Amino acid sequence: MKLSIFFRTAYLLGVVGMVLLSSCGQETASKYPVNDESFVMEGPLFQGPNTVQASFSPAIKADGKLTSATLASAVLKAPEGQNFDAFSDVVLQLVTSSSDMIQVGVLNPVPKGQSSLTLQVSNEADLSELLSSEECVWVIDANIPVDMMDTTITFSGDFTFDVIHTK
Amino acid sequence: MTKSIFLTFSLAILTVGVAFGQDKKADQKEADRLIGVWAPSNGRALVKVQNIAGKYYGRIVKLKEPNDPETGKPKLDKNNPDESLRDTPLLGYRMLKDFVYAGDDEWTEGTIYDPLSGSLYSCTIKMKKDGSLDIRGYIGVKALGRTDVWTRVK
Repeated sequence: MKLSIFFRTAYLLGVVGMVLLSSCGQETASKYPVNDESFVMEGPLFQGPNTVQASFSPAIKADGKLTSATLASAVLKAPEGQNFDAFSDVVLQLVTSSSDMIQVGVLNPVPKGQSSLTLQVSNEADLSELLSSEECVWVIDANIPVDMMDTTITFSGDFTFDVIHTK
Repeated sequence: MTKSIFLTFSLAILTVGVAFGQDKKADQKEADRLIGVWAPSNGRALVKVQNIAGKYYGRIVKLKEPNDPETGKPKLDKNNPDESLRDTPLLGYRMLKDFVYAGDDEWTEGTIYDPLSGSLYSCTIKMKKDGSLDIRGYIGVKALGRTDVWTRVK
């Protein structure tokens, strides 16, 4: 009789434990888009690497703690009728005031005549710490083959993150 | 009487505020001395330091030998541990990252990347009295690192 009670109690505790474990570690994967980021590279632009920045405030709506974030895609778009022929290559980085700068994308060489550039993105860089900050800064370095003294280059960027939240 | 105390108190707060603001400006000016173009001792590159989001970053703006002798094309970060980023050109590469001014002519908490090996080292920068920089890279313990002297070009 005593043995039966012991087994029943152990079984119940096991079931409760399993339920608690499964609910605690529940992961939710989703996409987080950051669209229409505006970049303005003001002239004079000199031959070699030139830098442009844009910031955004992450506002990911999800339950639980952000436990993983990687950049899934990064697309740069030139204004209508323009292209990216001024750039020979592009490097994309992300930084916050409290986190280290992380390189997240590159496109080298930039194909000629393109009004939209799809960057090769890093699958390894974990950006969860950065996306938990109040403000993130995109930093784009673009090599320019020749001096462009009176030119200002503008373009926009659409970015998508793969994020995982854990309850 | 009350009015006089209030005025004195307000004036004191204002004075402290102004002094604090001036200290902050002076600190920023001191910290910004790192901004500029620097030449490492090996003479292979020039590195431009700039301030982004309150921290200091240095990228390669000139290479003595910009092309890879094997391919004849511009050098790439072919030793990057992250294979997806190995197309990154070395010209423009941010080899100094995330430095914060710690006071006393020293910038800390940063890293330096060695493109020849693909290795990332912890790094501190000390500005000497002659205006040159002691760039010390290390793994783990600062005492076991290596120091290079960089001189200002611009």
